[in-house]
Amino acid sequence: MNAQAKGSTLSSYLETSFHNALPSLLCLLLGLVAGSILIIICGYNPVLVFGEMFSGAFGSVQGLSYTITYISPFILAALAFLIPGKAGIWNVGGQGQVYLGGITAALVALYIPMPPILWPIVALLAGAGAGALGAALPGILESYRNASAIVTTIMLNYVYAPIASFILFFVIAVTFPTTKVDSQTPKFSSAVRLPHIPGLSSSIMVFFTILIAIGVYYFLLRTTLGYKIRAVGLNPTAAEMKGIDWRKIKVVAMMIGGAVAGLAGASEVLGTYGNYVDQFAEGYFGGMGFAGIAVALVGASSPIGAIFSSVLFAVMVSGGPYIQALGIPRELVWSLQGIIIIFASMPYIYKVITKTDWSRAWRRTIVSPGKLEGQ
Amino acid sequence: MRKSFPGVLAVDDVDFEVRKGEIRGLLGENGAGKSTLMRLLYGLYRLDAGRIEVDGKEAHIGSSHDAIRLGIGMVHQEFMLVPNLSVKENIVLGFEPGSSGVFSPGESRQRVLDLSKSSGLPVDPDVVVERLPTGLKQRVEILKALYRGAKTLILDEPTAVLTPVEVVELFKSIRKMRDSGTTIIFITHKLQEIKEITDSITVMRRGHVVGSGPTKDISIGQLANMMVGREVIRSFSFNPYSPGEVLLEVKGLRVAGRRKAVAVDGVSFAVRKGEIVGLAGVDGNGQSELVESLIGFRKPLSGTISVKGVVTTSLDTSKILEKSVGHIPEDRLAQGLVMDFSISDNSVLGIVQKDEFSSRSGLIYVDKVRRFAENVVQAFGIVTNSVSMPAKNLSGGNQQKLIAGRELSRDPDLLIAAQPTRGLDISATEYIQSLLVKSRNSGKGILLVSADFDEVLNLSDRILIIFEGKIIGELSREQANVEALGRLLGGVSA
Repeated sequence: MNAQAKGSTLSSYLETSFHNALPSLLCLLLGLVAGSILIIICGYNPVLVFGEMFSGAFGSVQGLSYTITYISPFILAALAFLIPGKAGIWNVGGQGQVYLGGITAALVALYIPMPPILWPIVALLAGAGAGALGAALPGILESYRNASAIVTTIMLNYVYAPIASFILFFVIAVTFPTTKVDSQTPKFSSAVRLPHIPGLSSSIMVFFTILIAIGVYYFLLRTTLGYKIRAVGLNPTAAEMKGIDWRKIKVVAMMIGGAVAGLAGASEVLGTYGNYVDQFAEGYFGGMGFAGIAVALVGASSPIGAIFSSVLFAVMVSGGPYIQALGIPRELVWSLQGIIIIFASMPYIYKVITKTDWSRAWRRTIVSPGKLEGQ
Repeated sequence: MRKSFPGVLAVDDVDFEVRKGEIRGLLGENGAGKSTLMRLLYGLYRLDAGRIEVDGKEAHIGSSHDAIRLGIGMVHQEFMLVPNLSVKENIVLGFEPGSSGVFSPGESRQRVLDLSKSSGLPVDPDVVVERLPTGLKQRVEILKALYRGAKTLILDEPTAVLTPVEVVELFKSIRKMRDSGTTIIFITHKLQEIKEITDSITVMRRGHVVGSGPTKDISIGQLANMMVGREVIRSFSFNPYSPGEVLLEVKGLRVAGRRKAVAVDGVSFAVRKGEIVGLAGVDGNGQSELVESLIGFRKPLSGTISVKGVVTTSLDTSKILEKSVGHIPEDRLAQGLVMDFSISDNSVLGIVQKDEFSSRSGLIYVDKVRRFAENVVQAFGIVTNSVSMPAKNLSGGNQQKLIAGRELSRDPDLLIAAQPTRGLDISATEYIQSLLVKSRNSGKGILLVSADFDEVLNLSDRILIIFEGKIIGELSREQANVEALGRLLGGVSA
């Protein structure tokens, strides 16, 4: 590859990401301003509140550990939503797929001993595989049976999560009796648990996750499969006319998304918890899988954007309790978080809306004159 | 009146007038500007130049609300009804009778019945619209326009979706409405219909009015001549016609349609090396479905398709295209390009997995794709600053050049070109046509599907005429002229 081509792709990427990021940052600022107004109305000092949030999230070993711990699942859950999204299929089933991944990894960690290094890798991959299979079903239903994935994935959340709990209480609990009482398995062998970042209590998964996000970015842009996914998402008819099987591509994109969600569950179980805790994915801002959708939107549906928006979300989650410690009611903290998310996702939502309008206007003026007369 | 779109002058210097209480026919081929003209009257587009007068007063029609206020109603080809509401609810929608926000079903019912009676268009006000057959849905649309006070009613190709019996019913309704004082503008490209129903006719061609007058003074032959146009001015240089081996062979092909059960009904033909076979016909006679089945996009009901002697009837699109088949789809926005993709990405749509563009493991050689796109841009004269620009930023003509370039730079043995110059300006049209001729001269086979008769006459070595899913005639280059084509187009067998 010559340097010029590389340079121009990079500069065009920087250009697009600048266009994407600048409005997000401005809106984030607006969000902080709007939040400040709310804080002032409630009789507190916004500088103090936001200062406490950031010092809480970054100022101590414990706070920093929390923040970093949250980044990884947020990134993965966002990718689980946005990869199928690029193919034009809505994966709202991240939450259920997270549980499938988590419980599968737990089974490997409890029942299939392996040499160190290999063991966690196999457990993670098994979790990813379970997520992929779980996501394949709604993908197939949408592609071949015309059942909107947005509906089936939501419904399957209420199938997959109970399956995980069922396995916990009726399979694992048979061999590990404390499970029933504690609603969680005993701690896994340290050979299968993911090591911590030295000096912190967060697992090293976050580094891999950031690499995965960058990898997904290149996957979408630089591989034939990624290309096909994008083509199918933007114009399935044109893709099909050129011989791309959009049905298959949608299922594959769904499976990749599910695999990433499964990986999120598996890495939380093996890393953050070190055992399987019933309903572990319910925290994380209203559910890990659901939070991923918000993270993806704030990150302008870009894998790189997801890294940054995950940091924002992680800061809000880990810094929130510190604000409460100031005596501010937690409802106000939640409102602040909501306001910031809404503002930060505004540019992307705006883009989606105006783009729709724009293409409609395009159809009105260009396609219709010939097309409507013709038929 | 004048209206242009990027790359296209859709309506150019058109004078059009309708007298009160007449049925005025507006005749023209696809892309002639009929719908655009009517959309200007109905406020869906704004004028670039010129003026509109209603009842002798200049009218500013900025939206369909203005048009409705001035008593202009329009019935579109695609019905704009709410399927799960009743007839009466659909008709009064937006102007519901009732007081202080409370909807009055009884009064709506009465008003619809009154209107139905006075206009002579019977309907059952309580039936849910989705249960109605197409002809009655259309009647509901007409009543809806009348309810809103339409004195002038624009019917955009009203017969396109109707069965012959429904057409007879519609014509009765139209006459009744005329007799009760409503002015009707009837848009169509069907010669017999316009002769039958209208009082006077305006014919449009390529954005211009080419003729108008009372219906009784114009014969069907004259109408066909006006619609199809003069003999062609520009001519290309053709090598002597010596067709080679068969590239595409279609036998007894039957294909289901978008709206009809059978759109292509027992079609057989062949395309050989070194010839352009023109498939001429008014749109909606099965051409789209035929092309879609040729490239494996739509599976035929019966019959066989073979490319270079290999049966491809049930093969996937990718397998068919791999047999050195190129395809220029009829709708470049919906089928030809991914508008949000860059020019570069679009140039390798469907071929990115080839060895020239990516490794076995699926990594795209971005620089090679880029160089390929730059070659296409240069070789096919696409006007753009950079191949990383999205395709949507190109003009219509340049988008079509990009599609043609993508297909032709692979040097396919067989090219299926569907409406390749639709909506393009003259220079882009000639350029695309010259590419087809060049390809033909170099021994490739081309199936040219076109509703532009100039184009078919000018380019084809042989012309097949398709009408209602059947091929009803074939003309050689020597036999082909406007009159012969015009006769066949109306469905009159040769």
